[in-house]
Amino acid sequence: MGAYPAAVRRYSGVGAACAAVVALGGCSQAAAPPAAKLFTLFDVQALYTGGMLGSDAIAANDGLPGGILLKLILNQPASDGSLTLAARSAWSDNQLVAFLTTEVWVNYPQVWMQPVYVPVTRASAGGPLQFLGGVSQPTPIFSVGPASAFYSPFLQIVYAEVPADTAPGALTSARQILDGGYPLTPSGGRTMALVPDKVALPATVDLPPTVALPTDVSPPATGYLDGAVVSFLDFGPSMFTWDPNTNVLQEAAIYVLTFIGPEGKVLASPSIPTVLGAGPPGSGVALPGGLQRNSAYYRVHTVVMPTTARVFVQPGSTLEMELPDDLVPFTGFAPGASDLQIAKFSGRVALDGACFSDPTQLDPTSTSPNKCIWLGSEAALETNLDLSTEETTAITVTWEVTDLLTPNTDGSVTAVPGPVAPLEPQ
Amino acid sequence: MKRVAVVVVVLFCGARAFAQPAPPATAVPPPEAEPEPINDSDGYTPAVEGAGAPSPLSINGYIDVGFAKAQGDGTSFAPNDQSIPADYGVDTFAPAVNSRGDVASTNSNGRFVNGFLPRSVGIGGNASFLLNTLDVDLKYAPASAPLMVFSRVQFLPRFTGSGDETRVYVEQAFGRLVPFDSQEFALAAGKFDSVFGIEYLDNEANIRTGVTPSLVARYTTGQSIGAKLFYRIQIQPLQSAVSLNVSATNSGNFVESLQPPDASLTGAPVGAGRLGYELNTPGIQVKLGASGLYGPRNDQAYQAAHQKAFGFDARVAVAGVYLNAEYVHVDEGAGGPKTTSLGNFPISSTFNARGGYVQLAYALPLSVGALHKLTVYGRYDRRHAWFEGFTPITVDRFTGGVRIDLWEALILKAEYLDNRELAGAPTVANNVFTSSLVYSW
Repeated sequence: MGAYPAAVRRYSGVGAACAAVVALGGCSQAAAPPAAKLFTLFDVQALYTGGMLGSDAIAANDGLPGGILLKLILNQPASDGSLTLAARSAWSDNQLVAFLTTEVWVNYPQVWMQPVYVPVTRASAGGPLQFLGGVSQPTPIFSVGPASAFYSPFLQIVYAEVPADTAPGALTSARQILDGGYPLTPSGGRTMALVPDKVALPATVDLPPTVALPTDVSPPATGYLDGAVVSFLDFGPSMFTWDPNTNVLQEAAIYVLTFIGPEGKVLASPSIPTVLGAGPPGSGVALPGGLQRNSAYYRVHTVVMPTTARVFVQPGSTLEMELPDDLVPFTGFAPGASDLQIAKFSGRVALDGACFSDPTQLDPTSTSPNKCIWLGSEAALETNLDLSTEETTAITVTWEVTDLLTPNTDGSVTAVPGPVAPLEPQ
Repeated sequence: MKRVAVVVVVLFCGARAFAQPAPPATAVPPPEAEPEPINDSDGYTPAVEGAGAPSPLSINGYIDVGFAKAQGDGTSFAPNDQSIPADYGVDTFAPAVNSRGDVASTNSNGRFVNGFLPRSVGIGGNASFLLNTLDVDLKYAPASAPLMVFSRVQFLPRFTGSGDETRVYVEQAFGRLVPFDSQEFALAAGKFDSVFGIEYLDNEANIRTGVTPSLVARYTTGQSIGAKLFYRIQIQPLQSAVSLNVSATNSGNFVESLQPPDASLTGAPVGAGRLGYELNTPGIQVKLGASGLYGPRNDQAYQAAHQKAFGFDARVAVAGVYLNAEYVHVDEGAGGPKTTSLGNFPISSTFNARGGYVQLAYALPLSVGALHKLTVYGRYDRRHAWFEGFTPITVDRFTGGVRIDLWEALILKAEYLDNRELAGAPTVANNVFTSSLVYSW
């Protein structure tokens, strides 16, 4: 499926019109600039409903080999139609993290933050602000719906101080807020993705092995959009920054590591974890382990690996089976590697696979001159690669990092949820 | 450089104006005698040849001087609304100040806009004099051929926010052939007026009853480049006529600030047409029409991104009372990146609009010195529109005004626009007082 399938499907409809104006010399259409397309969870749900499978891709012709499979966003629907977000893993500063995907933008040169209104009030004059109705979880009022090309999960909290006697549920639209003339106080940014009904957070992430995925992200809560109740997931603050003059989001980079096959074919696999670039300055509370909280808005880049580079893959492992055959020659393994090393390095790309000859060289703290140089961070890519091979795709995504994935000595992996600060009334 | 050109043309046209023995037919204001635009006139009549024959070349035009004051900051943007794009959740065309539909301001104060905008005169909320239009019309109709060549060039001095700028705009330029003496059948090619509905007939300030266009004029009154066919058959026993006006153009009938007319961005034309019926009796005139438009939207490059519109119109004239009404239904599909005459924008969204207006005017003929006619008029507009995924907005407008015709070449008009946001759009102070002094030659 391309970026503009609907447009392609409708092309035949103009044939008759063209025939009628042959004399005018029309209809020799030049190549049109690519159309912008936003895929939300609602769109992915609709694609499933329309008969597409999890192995079908969106954004297949926009710079990322193979596009983005539907199952990497939402798992194949259950028989009752319920859906679960797909959890995946990526490298962030050489640490493995789990993340979710909630939006994919194609051919958007920029994406904007939108306002979301949160009614607050004072129980008594001069008293502290509280959410309307005195509840602990507010019902935010969204201003732009997911059907819009300008929908965004990246929101600026705007507190609307309403009279104390305002009934809960009385304010359900942005127009009501703006027409009410309430004092408005813009606050920080927060990533809150609107989700369809019957969408749940994942319980596990398949590395493999399958890892339980606790998260501080609450199950879908409810808000309002144009008077209607909507569901959303609140991923919390500090996941993006924006230009205050234009509300344009600042991008971080995702690097998809690719290999060149024998016939020059570009090879990539979603089973090889990508590398997350550093977020723009200013984003961030700390995750367990001292990491800065990741950005959630990324542009996808592809980077061609040098011919010496190899993916660390244990023979016979699930990871090996998931890789396409033409990528297997670009894998390697260190016989004798410990369970911890296997858990720690599986799927990771070493600059030169020759280092796999001795498992002691796997550890980046090794003193061996032949130790592995792992390409698990943006800094490592910049230091060790000729980034002239880097290509910027037309794809940007919302990737919400939820957990830090920590390998254990027995080869298991523990997911440590990143903190999600609750929304406060001021 | 443009300013120099303006001065030259003004001087040139001024000299010509003195030489004009009589005002042109197009300067006769409605509703006393409803004009047809020059490209829809009744057909070619061979001129008398010889020394007494009128010159085949005529130069006409008008100057529209305005004075306007809009509420607020002259826009429809709510000052505390930060949603994006700023022009998707309000009616940016509401605070119009002149016959071109230019608004007092489109300044969004840095908020991103996505090209659903009118032209602006840049006065914000200030009261200001304006030179809305300096219009120069050239018409050449040789006696030896059933051909007429017409051009309408307009000079539009505007304050842009960073200085003054005069835009020179070729609004119309076409040739029209009337091949059969016995038939009201005309073929035209070039840049010409819309064929959709009836409001385009009032585009020019020296013709329009009031000052500002309706809330749906943006969809029906734009000029474009292409070819056109007009045919009308008189049914004398019924005191009636039936007409057909069809065109194939680059952009259809949207105004140029929404769809650029000067090139086809898709490679396929936009078809439009109107089927009309007229009843012309001594006591009452009735004109009814149905219009349609179909083709690719010309603010992007995909042929598959269609625009479709249909509309109905009615005009009734009886005993000095003139009733005009029109309904328009517009649907646009999503396409590629957007380009309008105002610039490039990233997205052409799916868009829908329904709306119309009813205008009632009463003209009192007078012969008191220079005062020839006094007209009072009122119009009610209503528009419901939505971009995909955005809150549908419903707005309406009450317009009331008075028009005074002095001699045959001077018109003074003043009107008040009461704009209301009924649903979806935030309430904003965007009412307008505007006036217009139109000199014709």
